Amino acid sequence: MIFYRLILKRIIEAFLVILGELIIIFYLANIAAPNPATIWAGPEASPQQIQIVTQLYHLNQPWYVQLYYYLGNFFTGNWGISPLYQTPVISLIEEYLPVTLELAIIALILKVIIEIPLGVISALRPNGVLDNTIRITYTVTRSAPPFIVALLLLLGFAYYFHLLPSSYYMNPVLYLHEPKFYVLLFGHKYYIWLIDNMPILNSLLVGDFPALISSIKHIILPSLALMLFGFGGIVRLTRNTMIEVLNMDYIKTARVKGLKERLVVIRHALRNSLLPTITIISIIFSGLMQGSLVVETIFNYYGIGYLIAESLLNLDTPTLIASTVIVTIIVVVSNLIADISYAILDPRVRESL
Amino acid sequence: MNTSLMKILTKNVNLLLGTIIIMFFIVMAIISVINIHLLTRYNPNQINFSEANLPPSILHIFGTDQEGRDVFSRVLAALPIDVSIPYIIVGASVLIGLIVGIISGYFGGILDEILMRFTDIFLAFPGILLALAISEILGSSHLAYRLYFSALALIIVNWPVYARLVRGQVLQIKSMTYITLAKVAGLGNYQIMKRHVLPHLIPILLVYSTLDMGTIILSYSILAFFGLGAPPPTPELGRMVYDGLSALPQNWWSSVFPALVITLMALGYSLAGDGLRDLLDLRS
Repeated sequence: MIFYRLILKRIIEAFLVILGELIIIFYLANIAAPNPATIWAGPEASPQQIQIVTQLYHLNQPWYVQLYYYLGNFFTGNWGISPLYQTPVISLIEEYLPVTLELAIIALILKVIIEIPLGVISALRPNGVLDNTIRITYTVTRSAPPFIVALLLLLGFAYYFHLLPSSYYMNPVLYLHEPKFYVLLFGHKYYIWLIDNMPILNSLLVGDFPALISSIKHIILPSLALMLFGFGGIVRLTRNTMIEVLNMDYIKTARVKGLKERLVVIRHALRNSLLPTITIISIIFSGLMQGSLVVETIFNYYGIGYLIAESLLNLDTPTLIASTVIVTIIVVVSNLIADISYAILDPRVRESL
Repeated sequence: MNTSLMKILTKNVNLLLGTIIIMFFIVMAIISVINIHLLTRYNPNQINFSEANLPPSILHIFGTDQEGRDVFSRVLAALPIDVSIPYIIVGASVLIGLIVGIISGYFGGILDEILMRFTDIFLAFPGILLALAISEILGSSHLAYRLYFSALALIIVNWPVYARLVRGQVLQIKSMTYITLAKVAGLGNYQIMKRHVLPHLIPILLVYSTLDMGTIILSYSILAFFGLGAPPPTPELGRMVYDGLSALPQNWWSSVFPALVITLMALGYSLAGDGLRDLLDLRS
């Protein structure tokens, strides 16, 4: 019940964010291009195609009318046709988005299970040898652009030692299986493309063992590169809150009571210092979605980052705008999830709602 | 003065290292603008296929790329833009954020409400993506100006951070007694903001903008990676990384060295920012 207001507020905000983004894009496109059809139809369009595109997107109208039609079409799933791939944009996104989501979620899990313990270790002996080593490491990784990490991993593990594959999300001989998972609604089969197009999940659910092994092998390097992009944010936050918590009275009480140090740290201190970490996880997730642009380009990993990069380099505007909006929605939704979980976990916040 | 500055720098290793790195790149960029041949004997844009894909050696410190251009001289030629553009982006973001933040925090009320809702919306944009979309759409019809559109896009996604920061600070400062006293003394709003609010914002803005320079260098390098930086033939560090990808795995140097230079540049600002924060004691 108490979350309704929060959720409603966030949904309105999310809508405004997406609207604002589209307003900026449409307005700037309007002032930058004398004839917006040349942007929407792609660089190699014939005059006829330009005419069709003008009709399709109402490009002879003012920009806010175009925006109105675009929004209307967006909600009905008509996201335009990609001049580069010559297919509807929505089917492209159905194909590419789940791949990135899987990659980003795995990178996020890796980040959490590696960075939180490191933060705890640093906090136990502040300014000790381990703490300083960890700090120097993340000072450097924080300043590293995503491509340097990806490049070094690619050169080392794929090209020098030939341990892991260098591109694509599974061995090209193998393939994702036919859509299998659907829900029945009003006699219609709706396929859950989100599950169907995640390489690991798909092969796991179908039981295709070679494909599963192959897709796990292919995801190792990109997910490591993505994990190391912006590495240290969680370490730093966990360390600082942990140090604060460890100095509190109830920790001293627990120690005086004679509790084992491990119990004090894990059960009493860590639990309470995880709260701020949870709020930044969504920020980190949105960073991962953006980092995937570069990482997927370097590893030729066919996710939405790769799609965006391709549409960018080939001036495929409909795909670019739709994928930008989709990623924005994901980022906003992950913010919402963070806010709600924070409210559930922290009684003080829950009460103030 | 000089000795105390030296004392501060020797005590604060982060600040010292960061300042040295920053100064090094600025000096290199300036020399490269004045006369690049003081530092290298190669022409950064001279294509020479007989010298293509040479590994790093004494003659070519960073090796040569697929077209036989000397990577080191191209890095030098890219420095002026890659060093100065982040300053422009951060400077403009600070300026906009400062104006919005002060007005919002100082006057409060409905104006504050509207400005902050506006700021929140901009804050929620996935920055690099919006910047990519904007500079692609703007840049596709004006290729030569892509650089400025990229800068503009980064300013659009970057100023809200400062607006939020400044507003929070102004709210704190506003509750101080000396502001009330200044009001009682009959000072106008503009004078109060200029003389009594602005000076107190400078330390925290300095720390934040220095740290932010590192982030912006990375964001800009990603835009440049996708070809949204300075138009060719001007070399661009991020673009050099992308161009080098097609020469992998044999020719690793033409993409790794520019990427390392970007890392070092960003590291300089991030170290200096950490150092400044310790120095000015702004831990919170």
